[in-house]
Order: sequence, then C-alpha cells, then structure tokens
Amino acid sequence: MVSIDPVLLLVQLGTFLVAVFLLWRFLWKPLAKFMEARRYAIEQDIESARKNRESTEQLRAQIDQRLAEIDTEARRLLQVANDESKRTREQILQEAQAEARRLLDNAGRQIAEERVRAIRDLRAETVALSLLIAEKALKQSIDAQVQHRLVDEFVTELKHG
Amino acid sequence: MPDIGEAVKYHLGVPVPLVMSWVTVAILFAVSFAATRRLRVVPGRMQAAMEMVFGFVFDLVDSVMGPKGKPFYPLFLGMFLFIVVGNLIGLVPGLSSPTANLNTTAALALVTFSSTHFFGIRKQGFFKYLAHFSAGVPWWLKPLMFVIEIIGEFARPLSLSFRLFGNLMAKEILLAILALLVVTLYSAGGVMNMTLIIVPLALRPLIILLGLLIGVIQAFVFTVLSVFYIGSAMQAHE
Repeated sequence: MVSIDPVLLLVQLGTFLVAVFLLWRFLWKPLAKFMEARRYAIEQDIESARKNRESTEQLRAQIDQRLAEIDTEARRLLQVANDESKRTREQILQEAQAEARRLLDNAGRQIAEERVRAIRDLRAETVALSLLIAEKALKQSIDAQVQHRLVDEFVTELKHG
Repeated sequence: MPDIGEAVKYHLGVPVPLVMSWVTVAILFAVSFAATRRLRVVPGRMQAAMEMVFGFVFDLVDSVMGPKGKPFYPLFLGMFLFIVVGNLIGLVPGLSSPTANLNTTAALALVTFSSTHFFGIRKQGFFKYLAHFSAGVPWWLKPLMFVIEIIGEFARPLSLSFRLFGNLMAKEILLAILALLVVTLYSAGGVMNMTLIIVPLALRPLIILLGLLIGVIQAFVFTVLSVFYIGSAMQAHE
C-alpha cells in the first residue's frame, strides 16, 4: 500500500499534466480570459467615472470662478451706474437751478424795465394832463382856488387811478 | 457496494488509483464544461462557483508570487481542483480517492519539486541558484548549511506527498473499518452485536463529514505550499 510504483507514478504524472493542459487550453482559459476582460472593463469603467467626476469638478470650479467674476463685474457696473446717475442728477439739478436763477433774473429785469417804462408813460401822461389842465384853466379863467382844487383832484385821481 | 475501481482493475488490468484519477479528470471536464459552456457577465451558479475557485487560486498566486505568477495559474488551478475532486470522490460509495495512493500524491509532489528547481534555476542561473542554499551565513558554515538545505529541499516533496496521502488514507481506512465493523457485527448476530452496530453506523456519517473538511483543507495546504515553494525559489535573492 505504501510503496512507489514508478510506472504508475509516471502515468499519474502524465495524466495530471495532460489533464491540466487540456482543461486549461479548452475550458479554463476562456473563463480566465473572460474574468480578466470583465475585471478590465470594470476597472476602465471606474477609471472613466473617476475622470468624468474630475472633469465635472473642474468644470464646476470654472463655472464658480466665472460666476464670481460675473458677480464682481455686475457689482462694479452697478456702482458705475449709481455714480453716473448721481452725477447726472447733480448736473440736472445744477442746470435747473441755474435756469431758474436765469429765469428769475430775466423776470426781475423785465419787471424793472416795465416799471421804468410805466413811470415814463405816467410822466408823459402827467405832462399831457397838465398841459390839458393848463389849457382848460386858461380857457375857463378860473381862480387860484379853483386851480388848486383841480390840481388836488388830479393828484387824487392819479393816486386812485 | 461493488468497487468500480476494483472492477476495472479486474477486467482491464488498470490500477485502481489510475482509474480514480481518470474519473477525477472526467468530473473536472464535465463540471468545467457545464460552468464555461455559456459565459455570461452576470454568471449563473456553476460559472459563479468556478469563478470563485479561480479567483481564490489566482489571488493566492498573486499574493505570493506577484505578477510573475500569472504563467503558473494553470498549474496551481489544476493542482487545487484535481486534489479537491480527487479527495472528495472517495466519499462517494463505490469510488475511492486517487490521492489516497502514494503514487498519485508523489506524482503531484514531483510536479511541485521539479517546477520549484526548474524555474528557480531558469530565473537565477544554475550556480546562483545553488549558492542561494547557503546564502546569509559565514563562509565556514556554508558547506554544512548547503547540505542541510539540500536535505530540506528533498524533504519537501516527501512531506507534501505523505501529508496528503496519510490524511486521505486514514479517512479511507477509517471508513472501510467502520463499514467492515457493521458487516461483521451484523453477520455475528445477537442482541449485543446488533446494539453495537449503532456505533459504526453513527460514526460513519461523521467521518464522511470530516473527510469533506479534510479533503478541502488538504487540497488548500498542498496548493499553498506549492505556490510558496515555487514562488520563493523564483524570488530568492532578487
């Protein structure tokens, strides 16, 4: 039972080696290759997913950066617009005030001119009336009292007129 | 139960262990064919079981030998599956384990032994490979260490073959004794003998379960040691 039979040993050896060769060549190798291909495919998928995630993160970082730039730019433009509007408002206000002052000056000047012209017209009217009174006095030969009364009446009329 | 191996031996003159080796190989072909007939990305039960064994052996080889172990996948896969199936068919009534014969285990150990030294020499060169047996000791200890290491190298296949053979032979003898005991006690008759029959009848299933466990463990041990021997011969002094 515990003895070595060289022929049997060699035949067993040959049986084992031939069996392993045939099994590997025709049945096990395809399965091993299939497993390897599947493992490779899974590794590729994982690698691809990792790359996609990295590129997505990179893209997101770029978008965040761009958004931050846009935000900064928008704030700057808003500030510029505010400044511009303030400046424009001040300018418009100043122009309006200047215009108002100009209009007031014009109105004052016109009033003064009108006043001078009214006084001149009044004087001319007074002279004309005086001449008329004098003419009447001369014509009617009235006394001094009558003349005084007439002048007073005339002055009173001027005041009320 | 008639022994199929004995029947083949009687009619064809082929030794029983060889017949059992052929049966083992036939089972391996049948199971492998069934498992790999239609390969699917999501494997069925047979394919999944086969992939599990493949993965186990490949991982074992990779962990010991690294990427250089890939060419050895067929050898270790064949060794593991042949020993597992060879061990387990001994539990089937009418069959016996080819590994319960020293010639089978010696043939397997010879594969490991010759592969170890062949690939060791091919990797490192003849003289460098011989030198590694006495490396790392003072010069005056080298001859003694060389002899001890050479004896150790020859002890490896002996221990490999006798360990596997001894375990399987013990299981076979134990099962045969228990069966013989049942037959003997039954033939003797009497109340006492009939009562005692319970003992071998109860023990036999337990021994079969133990045989199942031993069958897988011994295949694992043989394969792991073979991987380690060949791997260490190739990696020595790298």
